Amino acid sequence: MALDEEIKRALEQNSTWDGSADQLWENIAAKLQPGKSWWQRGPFWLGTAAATLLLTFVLRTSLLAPAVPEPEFAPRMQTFTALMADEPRRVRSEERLEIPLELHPLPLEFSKGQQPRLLIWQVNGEEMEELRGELPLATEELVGPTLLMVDAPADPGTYRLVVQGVLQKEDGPYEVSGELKITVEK
Amino acid sequence: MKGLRGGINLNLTEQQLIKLAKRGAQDAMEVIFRRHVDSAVRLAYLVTRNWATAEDAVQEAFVQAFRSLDTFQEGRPFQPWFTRIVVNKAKRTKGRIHRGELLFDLKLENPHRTYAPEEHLLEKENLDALFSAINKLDDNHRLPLLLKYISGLTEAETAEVLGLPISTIKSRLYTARQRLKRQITELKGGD
Repeated sequence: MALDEEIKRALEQNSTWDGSADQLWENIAAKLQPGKSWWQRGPFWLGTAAATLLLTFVLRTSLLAPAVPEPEFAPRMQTFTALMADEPRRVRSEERLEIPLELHPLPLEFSKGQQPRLLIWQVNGEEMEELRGELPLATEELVGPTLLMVDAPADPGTYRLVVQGVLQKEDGPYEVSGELKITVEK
Repeated sequence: MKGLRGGINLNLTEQQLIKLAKRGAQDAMEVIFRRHVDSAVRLAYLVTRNWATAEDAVQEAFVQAFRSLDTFQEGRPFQPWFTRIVVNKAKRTKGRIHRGELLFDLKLENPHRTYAPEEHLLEKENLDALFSAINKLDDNHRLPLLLKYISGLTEAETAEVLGLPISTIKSRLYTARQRLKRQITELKGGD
């Protein structure tokens, strides 16, 4: 059996789904039911308007009042964020960071592969990423070469820092890769 | 399979179905769902290694995909766009598993798997060993492999889904296959 076929069969045989597509569709269809228009929901919009007014009041009050620590609220927020998956590391603007790198040997035909580079993707939403920068890396910047030292972007936001490319070493080419997701705080 | 589902012709092309789904036709959405659900759940399971969370991830992915169909560019294949959503949802769930919120239930012996009687025992053992080797690959090399063999994406589509250049995908697939080949050779040499 060819390797491709073996890999495909090994994966397929170990991922046979025995669940119910009908049940799954029922759940999805229920979530896709179109909601009623706001005027059909009766007094809901009144509640929204009241909430908007209240929010405005709270914002104005908190802007005018001196800052008061909220010991109970802050830890709760931290607990919530700790449970979020794929959570980016929170860093300060231009903080020095270390990106762990992985090296894997490649055959000589990959010798002319792309020089290692750092890609800075800004994450604007779950499916939206914008390339904000692409920096070629010199071999000597790849410390060890298991770590890359970089400074976090200056602007607040969530970023995915990706290192990729082919590193030429004395004994041949190596694929270098690494990734770090961060949120630069204000 | 019947030719119609809720008034929708099952033989419609994907692009025709997407056009109808964009107008809110739930029957068209259901046909799209049924065409993609199996590979989506398999992929999510292989990423999360947990059946219940894989189903949750796929459910969320379909809801998000259908709600954001307006942003889908007509004329482009649906599979890579949808696979990206599945991968993101599955990774999030996997992150929760790693944080101990959910139980980790990867078993080499998949309870859903059955072997036809004529299948040779040695082949079963080899495929088990190969599956074990695939699971030992790091995510950078494992994920492109799953997208190629489970989702059936091309290298270009895989590059698009993972937001990486195609040269990186090529080298990762190459490295992954080399490592697996080495494992198989060792296994067969040890027989």
